[in-house]
Amino acid sequence: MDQNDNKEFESYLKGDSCLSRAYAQLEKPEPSTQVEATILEEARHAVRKDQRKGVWFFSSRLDSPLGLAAVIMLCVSVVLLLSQQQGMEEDVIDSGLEHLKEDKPSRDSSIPYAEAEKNTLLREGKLKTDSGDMTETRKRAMSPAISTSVPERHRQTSIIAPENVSVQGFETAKEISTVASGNDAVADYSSPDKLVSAIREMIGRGRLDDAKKLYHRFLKQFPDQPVSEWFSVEERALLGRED
Amino acid sequence: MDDESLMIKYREGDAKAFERLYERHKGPLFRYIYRQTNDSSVAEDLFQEIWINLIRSRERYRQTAKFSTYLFRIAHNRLIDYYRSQKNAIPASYQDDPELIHTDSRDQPEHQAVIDGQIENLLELVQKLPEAQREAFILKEESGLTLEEIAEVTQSNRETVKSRLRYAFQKLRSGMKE
Repeated sequence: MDQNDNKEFESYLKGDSCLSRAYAQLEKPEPSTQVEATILEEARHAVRKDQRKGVWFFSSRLDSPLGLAAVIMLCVSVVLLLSQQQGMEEDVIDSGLEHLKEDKPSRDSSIPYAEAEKNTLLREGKLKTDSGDMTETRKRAMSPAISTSVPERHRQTSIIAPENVSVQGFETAKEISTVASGNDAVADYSSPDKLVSAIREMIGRGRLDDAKKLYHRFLKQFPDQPVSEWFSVEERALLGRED
Repeated sequence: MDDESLMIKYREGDAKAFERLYERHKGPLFRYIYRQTNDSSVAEDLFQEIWINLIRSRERYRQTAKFSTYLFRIAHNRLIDYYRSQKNAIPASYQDDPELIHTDSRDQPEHQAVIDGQIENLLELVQKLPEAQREAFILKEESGLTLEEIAEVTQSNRETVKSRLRYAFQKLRSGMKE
């Protein structure tokens, strides 16, 4: 290959050659339309297959895991909801127990209730006062006794109905008291045994003054009852031996 | 849009992208195979197999080389398989020894045929080239691949491709002049 041939060859490599131009003029055979149709259909079929495969991938392969995940999520939600509800119920019970344990009712709710109860009694004529109107002190004294719950500051106090206040419909006077465990029930001293029980309870609680008052009441209310039958020597000694 | 982007779009499910790729490359690829086999029926079978091979291996396509290089490499491998099935051996002209190629090509009967230096005879001259030289020539003329790309397609080195092209060029030019 001489230098001239080399130059021609380099020109040919660069695309500048009469050989390339001559080749470009040659007949250009093409594949048959049947082959073309087969190839293109195969290409489209492959795409459709991929799409079905994609659908299958999500509908079948991920179906079970997604379903399982959904069930787990549902279970967790239900468990959380139930435990939350249970916690709320326990809180309610706990607060209720605490409430009972401390016996600390809402002052705002008890006093209006007591006032309403008192007003009802006044309207019905069961409760009368000498002066027509109760003094504020008496109202305050009355309220906790009537209400079903007692504010803290009124607990541990013994409130006896004043002399000028009487309750109609009862054979004997009733002492309205919050003694004995703060229970707000109206004390019933209509029988000797009830009064004696109250006195003993006072003694048991170390509230000797209250016990003595009730003891005097016993003596006045039931003068025909022999004290020696109701009280022991020790009890009478504590209460003042007024028999 | 370039070939590589079209192939990626087809891989992602765009059949129209494949049609555009096919339109661009069907002619050069078919002629490459046809010139190498000189049998339209065989060429069509191989052509179809090559495209279907490309379709089925679309998931493995990576944009690391020109699409035409990728396509013609599939075609080259299929041709080698075809040669093996026909002659139970890869043609001697595919040996990388330029001297062997030169000697072998001189021994080819077609080389001795004197063809008039007319354009009409070019096709016959091309058909009479040894397979490897013809392949390098067709790849360059039909697909416009560079020496490096032809080397990649034919899994040889650049100098071997250049040597094959040089011999092909000499034979064709001398055949046309005569």
